[in-house]
Amino acid sequence: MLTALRDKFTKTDRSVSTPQVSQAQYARFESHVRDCHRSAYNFAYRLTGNPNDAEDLLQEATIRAFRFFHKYDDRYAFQNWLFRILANTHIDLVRRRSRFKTVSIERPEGSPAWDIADGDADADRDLLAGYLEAPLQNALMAINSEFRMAVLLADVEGMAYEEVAEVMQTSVGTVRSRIHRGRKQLRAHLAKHAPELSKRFIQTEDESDEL
Amino acid sequence: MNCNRVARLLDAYIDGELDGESMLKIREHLRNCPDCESELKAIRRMKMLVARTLPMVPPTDLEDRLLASCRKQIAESSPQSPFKYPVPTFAGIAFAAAVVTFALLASIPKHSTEKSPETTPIAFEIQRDQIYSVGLDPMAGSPTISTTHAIAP
Repeated sequence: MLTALRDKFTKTDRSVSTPQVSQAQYARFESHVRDCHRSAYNFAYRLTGNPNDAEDLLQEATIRAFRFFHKYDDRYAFQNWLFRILANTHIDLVRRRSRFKTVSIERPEGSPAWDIADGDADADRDLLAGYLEAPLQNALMAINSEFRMAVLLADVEGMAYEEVAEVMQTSVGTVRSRIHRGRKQLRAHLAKHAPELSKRFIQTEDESDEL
Repeated sequence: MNCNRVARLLDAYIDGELDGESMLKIREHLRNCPDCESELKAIRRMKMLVARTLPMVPPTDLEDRLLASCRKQIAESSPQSPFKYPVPTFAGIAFAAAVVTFALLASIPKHSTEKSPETTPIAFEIQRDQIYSVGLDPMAGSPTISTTHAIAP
């Protein structure tokens, strides 16, 4: 009884004290978000496979980040911290939704092309990337979400395994295994669903029969 | 190192995530094993395919919308909100009662306590019991409870 009452006291105390945000804190948060929202959006897009879910995920993660910004330790990169929250939020959402629906990422025929950056990189590369985009994103969506996350963090974000482990809150050994299995599943999926692409861009001549 | 073991380490090898000794052993194995060498090439191509995807561009107003939703959080938790303050609970009411009793006890004129020193421990006990009853440990220091010395002459 006594402890129950005491808990009640401390809990109400805490709920009052959380939302205190100073101007300076908000300004710091704003500048971090402006700096890294692009890469965060890209990560969210690659995780969810479509712009609407990517936005929802990023929105939810940003609000969570804001709520816990007082716990952010600025010795670490804000982007990695945000990615960690994004990853956790994604896993929560996937768990919540997995029983009810499977996400279809097929695009209707004749719909506008993928919303791709028009950088000044060489045109061939852009053309190639555009050509590979849909089958690759399909493959990414087909594999286990933790494998997908590890592969994206290492290969798209260029993180070292230790950073990936920090973002995913797991060990370097687990990251190594997730990346190994993730790439393997990607290859298997492409070989099955986009055999032409797979033959041309991934398999070497002598293994084309194996996959 | 056999092929099975090498196959499991090839991804980390490509990513430069192995210790020097393992890197050398794998390099040595690859030199003599065309199967593993071709596996290495396939993994490397898969990695490049993912790495070369072009970044998806967010809608131009996304950053503003993200920040607006955070500002809305602040607005919702501002003092105007009826949820800001906790609804009085039994513990809160009991605590208030304890404070009132304490104030009454403290306002008893000093000479009366001097005339009957035996009332002091009783007053202290009542006060202590009331504070205990709301679940506040006087040893925890908040709120502070006066000692018998403070009340006694």
